Amino acid sequence: MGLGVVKGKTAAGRLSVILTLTVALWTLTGGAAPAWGDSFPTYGTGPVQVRIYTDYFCPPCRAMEPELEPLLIRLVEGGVITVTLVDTPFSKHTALYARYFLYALDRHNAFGHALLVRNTLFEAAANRHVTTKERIEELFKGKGISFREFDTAGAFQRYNALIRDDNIDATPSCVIIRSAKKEKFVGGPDIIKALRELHR
Amino acid sequence: MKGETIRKGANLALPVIAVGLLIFYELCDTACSSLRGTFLGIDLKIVGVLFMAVFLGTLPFGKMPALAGPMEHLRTMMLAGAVGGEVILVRFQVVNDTYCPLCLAFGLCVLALFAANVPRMNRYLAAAAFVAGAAVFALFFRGSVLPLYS
Repeated sequence: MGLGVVKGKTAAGRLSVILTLTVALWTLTGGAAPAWGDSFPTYGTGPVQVRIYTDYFCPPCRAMEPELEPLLIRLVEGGVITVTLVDTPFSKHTALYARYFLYALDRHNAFGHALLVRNTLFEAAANRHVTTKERIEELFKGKGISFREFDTAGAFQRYNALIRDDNIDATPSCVIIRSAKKEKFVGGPDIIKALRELHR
Repeated sequence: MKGETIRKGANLALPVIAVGLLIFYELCDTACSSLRGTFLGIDLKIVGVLFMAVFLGTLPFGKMPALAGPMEHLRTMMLAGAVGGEVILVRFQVVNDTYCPLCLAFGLCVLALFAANVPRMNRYLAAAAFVAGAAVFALFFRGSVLPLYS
């Protein structure tokens, strides 16, 4: 009986230590994740880092999308790359579009869904009349894209850090980092060619 | 006579080439540059097209004796002022170490037009317009390089 009580106290002690450590780890890492962390557009687990910089209002970016998307899907699903999609604010309306892209990902952040939202926004930018939040919300409603508003300042700061770090001055641009070597490609044809090289 | 023929040919061809460059890059370029500028809030590409359109518009009036002189002075002021403005634009690119091939090509067309018309220019008017063009661009040109979220 005494031994059972001692064992019970020891077990409780261990459990409380485990719980304390778990709470501490949660607070220091996962629990302290920023509110936008779940909706940042990074996908895949491949060893090669790929960053795609595009602007919805950039015609060459729009022209590249039909070839780019299936290639990215193959590379992500094949475990070749981890891709980050960075909306680059060349146009005065891009920040608005970028916010709604992130709002949509906040509800459902899967790669396929991100590409769907991205395509929707590219089409809207091509039409030129979708330049207010009301019109974007109407568009999302029509397409069945749910979204949740949140403070995107943190995500935008992260975008800015990447833009500065990679010195992006044109879209579309693609930065490929593998084996600590960074390469930058500008323009649809060069980007597609570089990504196809990864696929081989 | 030969010089006059070259000048007339340049006055017709160079504006068309310059506008053609703007249209070509708008339609066919494989990337959008973040290097962009506005003059009084208007995109520089539009300013460039309007400039060349007005320049071409002065050419027919030059054949009317009463208007030939004033049109010549107008072209002098436009071209000299544009060269002054181009100095500011090129300086911006050099300072930011980011270059726009289209902008530089357009600037070359402006310079070539200026060179073709220099023999007929009033030098004092040209000098004053050059300084005024540079000053106006320095005051009202807004350029940006890296695209960042504010």
